[in-house]
Amino acid sequence: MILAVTGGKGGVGKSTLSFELGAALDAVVVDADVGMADLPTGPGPDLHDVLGGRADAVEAVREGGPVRLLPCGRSLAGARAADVRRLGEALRAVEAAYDTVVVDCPAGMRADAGVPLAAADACVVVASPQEYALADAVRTRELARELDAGLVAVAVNRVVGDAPEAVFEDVLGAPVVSVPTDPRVGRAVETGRPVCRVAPTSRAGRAVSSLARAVDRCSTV
Amino acid sequence: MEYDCTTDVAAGTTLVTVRVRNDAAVDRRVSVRNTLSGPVLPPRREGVPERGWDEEGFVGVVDAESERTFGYACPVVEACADPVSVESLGRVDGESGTDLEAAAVRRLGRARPPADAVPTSADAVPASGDAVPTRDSNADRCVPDRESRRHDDAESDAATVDEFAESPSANRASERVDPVESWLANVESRAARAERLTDATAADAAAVLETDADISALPAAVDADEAALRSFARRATALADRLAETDPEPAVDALAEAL
Repeated sequence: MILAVTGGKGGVGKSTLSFELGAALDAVVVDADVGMADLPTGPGPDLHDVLGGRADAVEAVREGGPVRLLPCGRSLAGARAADVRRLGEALRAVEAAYDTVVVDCPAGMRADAGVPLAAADACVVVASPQEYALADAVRTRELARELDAGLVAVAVNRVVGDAPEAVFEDVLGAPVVSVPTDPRVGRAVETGRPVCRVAPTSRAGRAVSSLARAVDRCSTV
Repeated sequence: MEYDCTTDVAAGTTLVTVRVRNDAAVDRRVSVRNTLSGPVLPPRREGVPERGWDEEGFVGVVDAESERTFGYACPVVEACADPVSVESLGRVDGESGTDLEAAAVRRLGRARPPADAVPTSADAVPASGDAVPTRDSNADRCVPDRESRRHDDAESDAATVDEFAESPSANRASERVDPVESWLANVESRAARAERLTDATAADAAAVLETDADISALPAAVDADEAALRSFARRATALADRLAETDPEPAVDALAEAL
């Protein structure tokens, strides 16, 4: 399956949760933030090359790290040359080779955020725990609905104390999983140590597992 | 299914307008096929053909007891009594497959950095004078600080390389492109596009348009490229001549022995 991890705003933790979900689901994480990539890269072909028609999507997947990753280039020229219309085809090729794909979507409501949703079977919407973040989550859910990506769950990220779970559930009509603030989650991409693996019994680790189970349930239906 | 069709000719291209009326009390699917001898250039948004269009024509729905108007271009001019064939494909039974990804691009619009923001684009290359970006040129205003510093220091200070290797952004070092290499690569791609558009038919032009929607700046960019390359060639030749005149080896050897 192709799972899009999305959310209208930048900085809510989409990349971090994509990385954690990739680890929990044993998936390939695709950094689809063509303009402002977050996940680590290195020498070798990346998503810019794939979308520019210079590399094959499956060949661009990096196998060596803690989570399999298809990184994205960071140059403006690469972002400009990337044709987002090739993204769906690239995601399906990776899915055919690896079964599960987690797409870290860019912020915003342009085509680079819409195409992964159109290609995805399901999505997880990431939101910050403030009530004002609800409006963004609603807009993202509407876009996902229009583009036929079923909403699996809403991840309310970096929760301190009680999250407004009931409000989010009421308004969005989807299960809400609160991911408590844990500095290890924030550092997971950098250290290469996903919390759901190194601290599976921590509250954050359990929240990621719970999100992964929700995704699994939806993919087996 | 009733229809009427009008044509208009502009710049060697036939513009076809078709009005299709569905008098039935149910929504009906209709096929509008082009019978002219050229390909269909369909309406596009963000470079993507509108829903239902392909090279043959249009297939879509006309609502019950209503009328729908279509228009397309065909890059031939020929006398033809009936440039389209319209056929009813029967009543609409359920939603047909839609290409959601193309619809997303059409509706949401592509998010691409503007050409001006890309350091090695046509605009970054001065139209005349020094071909290679210098401190005074437009180019350096667009180049990120890190890049321009590297460029300035490259000739005089080899140690800069080490400084970059140790910097926190060292893992990005491999991504930095040589400015001359990437400039030439850009010129090559513009040259290829300009060659395809030279004496091109409207169909070829449309094919180029598919790959890059913004070609309005191409003629000016090609002129600027030519001027810049010729000036670059003169400067490179002069530099090579200067190098040919030099012979530092005996002095360097003598110094090495003295040490």
